[in-house]
Amino acid sequence: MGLLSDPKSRERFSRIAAKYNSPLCFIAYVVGVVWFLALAYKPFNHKTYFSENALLPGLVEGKFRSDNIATRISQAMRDIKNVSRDGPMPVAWVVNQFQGLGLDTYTQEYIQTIPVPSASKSKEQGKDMFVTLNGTNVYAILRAPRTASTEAIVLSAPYKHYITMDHNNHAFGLMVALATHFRKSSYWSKDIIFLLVDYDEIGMEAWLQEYHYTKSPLLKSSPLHGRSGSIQAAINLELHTEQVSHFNVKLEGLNGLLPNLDLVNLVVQLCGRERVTVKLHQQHDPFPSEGWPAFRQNLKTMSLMMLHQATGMPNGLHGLFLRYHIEAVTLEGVLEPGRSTTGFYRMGRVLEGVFRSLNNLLERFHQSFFFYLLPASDRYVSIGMYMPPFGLILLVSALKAIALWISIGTPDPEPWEGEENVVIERIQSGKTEDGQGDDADSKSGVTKIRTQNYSDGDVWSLVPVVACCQVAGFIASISPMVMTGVGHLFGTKPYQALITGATGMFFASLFMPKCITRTRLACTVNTLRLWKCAALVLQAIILAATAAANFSLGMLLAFTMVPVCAMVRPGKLRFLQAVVMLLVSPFGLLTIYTGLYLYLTVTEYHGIFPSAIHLCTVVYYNILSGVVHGYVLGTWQYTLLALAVFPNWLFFWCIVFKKRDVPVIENKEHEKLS
Amino acid sequence: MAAARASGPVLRPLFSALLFLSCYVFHTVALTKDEHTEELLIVPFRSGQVYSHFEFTTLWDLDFAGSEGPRYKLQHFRLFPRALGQVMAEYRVQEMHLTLTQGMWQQDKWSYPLTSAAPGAELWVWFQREVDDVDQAWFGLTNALSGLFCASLNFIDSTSTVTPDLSFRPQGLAQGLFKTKPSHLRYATLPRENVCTENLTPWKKLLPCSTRTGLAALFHAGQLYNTQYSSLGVHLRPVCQNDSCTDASLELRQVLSTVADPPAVLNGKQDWSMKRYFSRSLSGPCPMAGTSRVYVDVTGNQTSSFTLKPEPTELKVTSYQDYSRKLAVYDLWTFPFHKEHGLNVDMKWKREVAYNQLTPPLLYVHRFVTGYGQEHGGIMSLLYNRHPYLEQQVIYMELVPWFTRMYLHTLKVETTEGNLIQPLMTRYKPGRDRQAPYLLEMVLTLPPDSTTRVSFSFERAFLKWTEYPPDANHGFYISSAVLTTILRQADNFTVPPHMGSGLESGLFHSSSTEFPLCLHTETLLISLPTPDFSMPYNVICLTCTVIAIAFGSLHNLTTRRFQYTDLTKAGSGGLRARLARLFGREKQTTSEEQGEESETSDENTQEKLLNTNSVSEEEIDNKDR
Repeated sequence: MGLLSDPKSRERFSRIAAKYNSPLCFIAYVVGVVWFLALAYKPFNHKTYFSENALLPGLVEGKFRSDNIATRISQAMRDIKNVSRDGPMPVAWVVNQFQGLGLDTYTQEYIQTIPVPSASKSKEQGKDMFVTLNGTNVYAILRAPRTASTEAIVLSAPYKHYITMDHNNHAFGLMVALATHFRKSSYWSKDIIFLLVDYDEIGMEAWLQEYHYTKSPLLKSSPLHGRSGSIQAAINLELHTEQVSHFNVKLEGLNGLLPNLDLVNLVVQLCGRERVTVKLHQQHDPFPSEGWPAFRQNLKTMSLMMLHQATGMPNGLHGLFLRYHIEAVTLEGVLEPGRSTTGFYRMGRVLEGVFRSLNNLLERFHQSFFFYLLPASDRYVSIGMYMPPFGLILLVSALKAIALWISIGTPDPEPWEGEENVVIERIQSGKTEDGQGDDADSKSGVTKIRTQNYSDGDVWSLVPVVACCQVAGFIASISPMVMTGVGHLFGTKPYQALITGATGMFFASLFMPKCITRTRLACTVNTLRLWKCAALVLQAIILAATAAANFSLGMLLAFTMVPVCAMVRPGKLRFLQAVVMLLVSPFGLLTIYTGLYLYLTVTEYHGIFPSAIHLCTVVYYNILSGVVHGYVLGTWQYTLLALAVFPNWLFFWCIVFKKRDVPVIENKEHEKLS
Repeated sequence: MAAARASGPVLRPLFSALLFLSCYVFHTVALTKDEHTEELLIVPFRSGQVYSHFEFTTLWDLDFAGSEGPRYKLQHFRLFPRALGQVMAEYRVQEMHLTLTQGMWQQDKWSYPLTSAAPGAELWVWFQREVDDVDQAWFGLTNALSGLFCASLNFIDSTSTVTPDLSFRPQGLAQGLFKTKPSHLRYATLPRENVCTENLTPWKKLLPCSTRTGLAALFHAGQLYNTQYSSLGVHLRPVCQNDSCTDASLELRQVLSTVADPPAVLNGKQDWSMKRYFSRSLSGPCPMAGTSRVYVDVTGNQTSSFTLKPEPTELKVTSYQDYSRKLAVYDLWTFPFHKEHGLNVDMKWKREVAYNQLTPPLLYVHRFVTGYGQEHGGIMSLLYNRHPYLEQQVIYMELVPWFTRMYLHTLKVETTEGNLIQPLMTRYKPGRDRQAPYLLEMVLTLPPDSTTRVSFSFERAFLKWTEYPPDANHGFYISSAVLTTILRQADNFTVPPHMGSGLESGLFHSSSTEFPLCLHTETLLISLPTPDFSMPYNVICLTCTVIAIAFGSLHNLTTRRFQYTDLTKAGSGGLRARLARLFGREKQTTSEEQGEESETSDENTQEKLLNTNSVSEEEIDNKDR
């Protein structure tokens, strides 16, 4: 309480912070990590509940009986698909399906430019340097009676599955069946928009941008001639087969945004009502729900969610709605062999229930959590629960920084030769003779301080090193595009050039400490302490800010970077430190976490070598999509890593390799004074 | 009379008085003639919906001559509703247009309505020139109408009222005695208004036959409000009594339109009948009505054939310009009700509705909100002029509430090709927070075959917490923009606009070449930054904690006096004391408390005690050195 006003307690605090620094840091880190992992265990998290009373899930009886329409339409679409395999979307046919129901049907044509030079095109045409994608979205609006089209709900489906490039005809069939059913009812209070998206995320983004008229220079689109009002919620549908064994509910959206927990609950609840199994990240809810296996299962689900969220890339089309403050989830129907299956009838009833509940909404979703982690489909860890352990982990950086700050101005007990020591406790246990200016301390209990080295860390010495790191970060952030431009001149493949750009700067800047050492910076031990102190403070700020926007990213970074960065010190065991530092570099972390993700998801193990190859491919793909999505969809993960995390890491990297280059003068001073 | 004579001399004076009275009444009635017309127009749309438009017109020839201007001498009500008439007379209303609408007219599918109405409630009134305090009269009128129609019109205040210069011209007589002043117009909308049975009931009580017989017998609230669109309106205006316009009469139009959507419930067929959509059939005309007719538009019968039962009393073909229209007419006065057991107009289609790409009308509007987030936003309107070679001059009016602070400098009018369009005239009244809305009126020339974008941005205001309505997260409504123009072609009109009274004149006697048109756009729903109203408890807890922490420390720091002391003398506690202080926390706190208490009482003690717990002195010392 009296930390500000009472110098005494402040002093005591700083003494404790300095003296018990290492054990405190250790305890904070271990407690933080254990606490966080424990949150996945059932007794430590909570059961989900409905905050929004207006949803009234399952109150009405489902009347959906149009499953035969779904079968017919999906068959018809598959037949068309076979005629024109890999061809463009059969726009006219899709339009006819919607128009035949009497819905207001519109199309949107768009051309998206991806700022990656296309090698093949440029050779042929010379002009058209960039990759362009053009597609056509089809959407139909079911106008709610007696309303002025002020609100809308969206049911969307991609035309093709993203990874398998298989046609999503079952989802379209179900969509038309639902449209037929919904058309008959007069109880709708919100318009329903049925949207079939060409080219997945790009198409979705094109439609959303045009709907909200937020223009991006890379996208050209025909204007939408029909609109409804403000979109309240959206459900995205992906069905791999006609019969599915479970719905995989996908939540993670652009930049780690999550839909309101009420919407997730709603979907989970109504699936349960229709006895459709729900999974998160293909992970089933454990049964029995307590005990070690359950904990492991919960932890796995939660880790997968965090790994997904940390990438900042939407794992379904719903993810793009979230930016526009439209709550959305993706329901992915998956067939797992050997399980009981669900057909169009029950899936339709689930969706009917969801839409009728959404129709009941009087207000936008605002009641429940927007920040949460799900260890199981019916358990949640809210922001109030996961932030304290994260704070504890960050406390390590803060404590270390405080200890270093306090230690600035104290001498190094074993100056310059032998074991180097930045940590304060050694100093305190050290000498007791009076230095100058120390007499005041005798009463207040501070250990006698030798002031032979009482030059406070040179604050100005921070400027060049921080500036260098930031410049390196900036170059890293723009290098993919620059390199593709340069690579284009030399005829390299754009994706290779892009990867070279993204990773090249990283490897190049590993040599930065060499360059910095050459400059004649007066680098006393205090200066180094100051450097590390600044680096730690910066790290704590960056991680805290990251966690506020995308908790999983912040947590995963803090989880590994904080202990390593708190431990590094100049000089000793340089090689080992370098290896560990490389592991926690953005590049190393990406590899580690990709490996973890593969470990958690891939069931078959093919031996070390193929797995390593697979890992490299996935890492390669992740970097690529991180960069490209940054330009096309506006994810900021790559930019954040390049502009904030990477410079910070580089700072630590410099500290590891920093040589003290002024021992002579300091020693002399020291000798004189002592 | 025989009874009266027989009852003796006592009743004789009373009788004569009655006789006199009835003579007088007859006399006045003869002086101020009034007539009532009831009409129903049924139009099956190509998009599958069926439009039914009821129009009840009461014409009252009034004697406007007199020294006090055109103040109505509204006495001796016969067909004209007294409840409304008295209100009109009280507030000296010259012209009044009130519509209460549920749903939105879909211009691109249904062409133009007979009377365009904004979703929600819309009211515009021209007051007589002699009214001194228009705002006062407006306030009184809205409150009176609110009571009369059970609508929330009493919520109309200065923040939603404007006086447009260009868009709303008087629709009736506006010369001579009825000359108007531009400042005597008031216009307001309530886009959030929900319209339902409670508004219909008082509205139908204004009819001379109420709902007992005549066309109004079809009003079954449960059915009327189970439609795509339903709108009721009351329109009052002075009109010419005859062609020479020497005398004026008062016209009251009561309008009810609904659009039903039969294919949604009938397996894709457009079949429509009175019994199904009004849940009863007609039993006869209203005895008070001079004309009582039902028109069914059978123009489309050639393309998508349907059978109409029973046989109409008359088939009429009317044409305006190159466009001809075929109408089946049922005259209720001549219809053989005794033979047919009531009139149940029944349309049966042979096939299901074939939905095609519809051709939208030549001129239509589409409006929407742009941008996302809770700080800025924008509104964009797309004005479509599909005419292949004619320019179209329109008046575009935008009424923006104060909480969406409109930036005029962002106003941009351009075609989709990017050509800037210079408005011929712009009227802009800036809004004021919590007082007046923003009003923008522009006269634009739309190039032929073009789409014009009108766009501007706004800033979302942060309201006071009491200003949020219930369900604050639902959002706030921005009322429709209004597009006024004069068209030269009548093809897209359901009934071409006309100056005469009743539907008949528009349907059969329209000879003009200019058709005034008024279109309303979508209402918009925007979300303002909304505080979390369920969170005050958390906020209070957090704030109190922060204040408690910060206040204590800061107060302590700022009120304490720091002094130099001799530390060598004071700090002779030695190692033992230091250790004691280090571990003995209780002792420390007690000494602190004492210190704080003594601050106020005894300065000497304070100085001594300060010695024990000050590092700031050290800092000062260091600086000294």
